[in-house]
Parts: sequence; structure tokens; C-alpha cells
Amino acid sequence: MKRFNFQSIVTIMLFVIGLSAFAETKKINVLWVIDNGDSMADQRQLIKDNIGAFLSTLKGMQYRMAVTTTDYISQAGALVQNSKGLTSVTSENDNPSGDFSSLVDAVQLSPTSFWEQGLASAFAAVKNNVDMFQQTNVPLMIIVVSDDDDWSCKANCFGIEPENNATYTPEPVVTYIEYFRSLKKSRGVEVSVFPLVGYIETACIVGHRGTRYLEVQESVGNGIRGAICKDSFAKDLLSVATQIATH
Amino acid sequence: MKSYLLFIFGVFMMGPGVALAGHEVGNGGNGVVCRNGSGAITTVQLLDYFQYEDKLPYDLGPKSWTYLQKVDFALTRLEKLDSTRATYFQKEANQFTSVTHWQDGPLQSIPDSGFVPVPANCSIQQMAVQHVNNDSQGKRYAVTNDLWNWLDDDGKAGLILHEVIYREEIRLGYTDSIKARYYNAVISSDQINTMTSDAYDDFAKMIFQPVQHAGFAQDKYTINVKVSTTTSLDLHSLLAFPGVDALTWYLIPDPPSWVNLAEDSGILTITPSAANVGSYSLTMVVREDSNGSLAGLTLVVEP
Repeated sequence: MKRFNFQSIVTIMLFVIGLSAFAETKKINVLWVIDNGDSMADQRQLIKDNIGAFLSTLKGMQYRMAVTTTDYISQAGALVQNSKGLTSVTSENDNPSGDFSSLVDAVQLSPTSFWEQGLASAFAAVKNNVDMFQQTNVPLMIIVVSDDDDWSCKANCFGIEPENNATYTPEPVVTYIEYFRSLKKSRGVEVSVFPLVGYIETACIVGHRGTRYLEVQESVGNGIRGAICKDSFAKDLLSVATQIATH
Repeated sequence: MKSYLLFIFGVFMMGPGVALAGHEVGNGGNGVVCRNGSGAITTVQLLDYFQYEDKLPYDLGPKSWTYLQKVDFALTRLEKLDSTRATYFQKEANQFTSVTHWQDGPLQSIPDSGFVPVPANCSIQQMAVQHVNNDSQGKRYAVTNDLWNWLDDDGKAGLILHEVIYREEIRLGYTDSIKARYYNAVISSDQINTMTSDAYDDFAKMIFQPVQHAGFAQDKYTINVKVSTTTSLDLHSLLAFPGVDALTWYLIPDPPSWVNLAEDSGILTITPSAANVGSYSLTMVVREDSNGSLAGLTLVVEP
């Protein structure tokens, strides 16, 4: 009887500990917006090279990650699919690093990749994948990797590349800021944006500074910026992971 | 087709005076050559300095300096506002004499000057041409001694500056030296000392803005076709700018099977049947390296 009581107590204690541990497991969703322009091949390789360290930093968290590209015209924020049809990677996968790398491999140059619209892609990806990115009270991390600015288009999305195009109408940045902020009120989803882009202090030359991404990051809050430069990319990506882990 | 046309153009541009090997553009500095009644040269002035002598009189230091000292003087002045370009130009200028064919006799005239009025007894003549890449002898410029020897050290310095500036312009796709001359006149004058950093940045951005790549002339097109007929259209005919590199063509989303676009040639072929009567919206894409252009295309299939 005494033995039974002791076992019961131990069992109950383990259950409680396990339950509390489960309750404390942080859940996050991560949307990667990766520039699929031809100038970004090296950076895409760097993501793959460093995804192991990135995910190690998230150890103990329940995460789900998916990828979209900055080519909104051809891909409209669709989630990138690997050769086996996989569109997301979770912490429960046997090989999350390998699976995620296969998604990055599937980020390919496309006919309209010259018109980078990372914010429009992120917006569409989040809006069209409610189950994945709008889980109630699960924070959403949006990581943008681009060596260009966002050229999301509102109207007359024709003509030459947007950086030299005076006739297209850009979508105001506030559209995206308000949308991502609204998810907190409507779904309890706190959005953080992490642009790995060019900015004025970056030590490398980029196509254009990621000014609009940085504006969204600052206005939405929580996220941090990193540089797209190859020399510092691994360090900055790890800083993003650390920020997510300690969020 | 494009390569063929470029080849013909290249042959046309090359003259007997200069052997331009490989992937070439040609072009280069010009002089304003004035002659007396018997046709003998009296003065030769760099076109850049002639064109802007009133608004931007050059100042390249004391007359006693050599042309290389004068180049150094101008680029040291530029360095305060644009150290990257000053360093690049200096490096190019330092090797100018060793990578130049110095030849007697005239160079083939290349019409890259735009319109600059000169006095009745003067003419604009080619003083230098440059290759995109070095030729088989490691040379990238050709200069005619006939005119070079008439230049004073200011003019010689100005010609070298012109060539190294124009070198960057050629890389950006320019085939005329209009902006190079203006930039040269500015950095050769005291004007550069009065510019703020922001003003210079705007100025340099304007001067070194890449040429426009291939782009459609209109945002939207409509093509009417009849069933049971084949319609072909070379999409090059829709471009406002032909671009400078090879083009690749796409339709998005993927078109129906009776619409075909050859990605390399840009030939659009439409062969609809009676079942295809109606209106179809597509987007045409032309890519030129990392640049591109989009235009809407509405196909109207009529019975």
C-alpha cells in the first residue's frame, strides 16, 4: 500500500512536471521570404549552411517554418514546395535542417523575379494560409532575406523593373504594417519581422537598401534587422534565431 | 537575329585605322580642330573643355605641371566627394599610356559626340577610341599622335580623364559621350569644390545611371485573331528600348496550348480553333539579365 502510494505520488509528480513542461513549450510559426533573384544565389546557400545552427538555437521550441519568394507576380505568395511536395518543416520532423534546405533549394529564379515584392508575398502567404500562420496566440516570425528593397505594387504593375519605373503605383508600406499589427487583435498573433537586407550601415554593396522592410520591422516591433552581407550573414542569422528564442 | 545585327553594326563602326578586336564598342574622346585658310591645324582643344569653357572653365593646376600631375590634381579634388571613383579613375589613368596604341594618322570618326556647334574653320575629330576589353596586345585605347601632340598638358590630362570616365559609362551601356564630357568638365573645374556631398551624389547618380534595358513601349496590348488562322508576332516589335544583351521571353501564367512563345526568339504564334473563341489575359515578360519588363496582353479570338 505504501509502495503504491509512493508510485502514485511519483507518477503524479512526473505528470505535473511533464504537463508544465509541455505548457511552457513555446510555439512559433516562421515564414521565410527569400529573394529568388539571380544575385541571391550565394545568400540562399548561406541560409542552408547555417540553418543547423539556427534551428539548434530554437531547440525546445515547437516551430513550423515555410518559405515564400519575393516574386509576387508569378508566385503570389505561394509556399515553396520541394520535390516531394513538402511545403513546411516542423520541429517534429526527423531532419528539419535537411527538409528546410530542400525548400531553399526549391527557391529558383523565375521570369518575374526582377520585380521583388517581399511584403506583398508575405501578406498573401499569411492571409492565404490561416491554419499555418494565424494560429491563435502563436507568434509569427517573418524573416526576409533580400539584397533589394520591396517594390510591392498597388496598380499599373507593368513596365520595366520597378527601381527605374516611374509609372507603377507602389502599395503603401502602411498597408502591411496595419495588417500585421491587426493579427494581434484579431487572432492574438504577435508578428515580428526580421529583415536581413541592405541598409546604410551594412558593409557590402547591395542592389538597393531594404528601406521598406526596415520600416515594417520598426513599426510592427519585436523583430531585429540583420545585414545581407556574406561576411556577417551567419552571425546575423544567429542573432535572429536568438531573438526568436528569447522572445 | 540580334547577334547578327550587332555584328553588322560592329563592322560598320570599325574603321581601317584601328583594329578593334573582340567584344567592342569603340568610341572615345574628340577634339575641336581648327585650321587656317590653307588647311593647316592652328589649334586643337578637347571637346569637353571647348563645350563647357564658359560655364565650367577647367582648372587643372599650374601650367608648368605635366599632364599626369594635372590628372592627379583633378582626382585628388574628386576624392573628397567620391573616393571610390577617384581611386578607380586614378588606377586607370596611371596605366593609360602603357595600354594605348599611339598611332600616326587619323582615327575612324565615331559619331558619339551629339551635336556641338563649332566655328566655321573648325571641326570635331576623333582623338581616341577605346575597347571594352584589352586587345591581343593588351591595349585598350588608341590615340592619334597627330592631334595628341597639339594638345597642351591641360588638354592631355582632360583626354585621359575623359577616357577613364567614359570607360565606366560604356560599362553602363552608354554609346555616346555626352554625360562623360559634362562630368569631365565638372571634375576638371572649381565647381567640384563648391558641391556638397548630397549635391555631388545626385549629380553622380544622374551621370552614371545605367542605360535603359529592354522595355515594352506600352503597358497593355490587345491582339485580335481569327479561328483557324495562324498569327505570328515578333515581340521585339513591341519594345521601346531594344536592350543591350540577349533577351528571353515569357508569358505568365502558362498560355493555352494554341499559344506558343519561343523564349529565345520572342516569336509569338497563335493558332486558335473554334473552341477557343473568347478573350484571354496574359502577361508578357522580357528579361535582360537581371532586368526585365512586363506588359499585359489580351488575346481576343474571333469566329
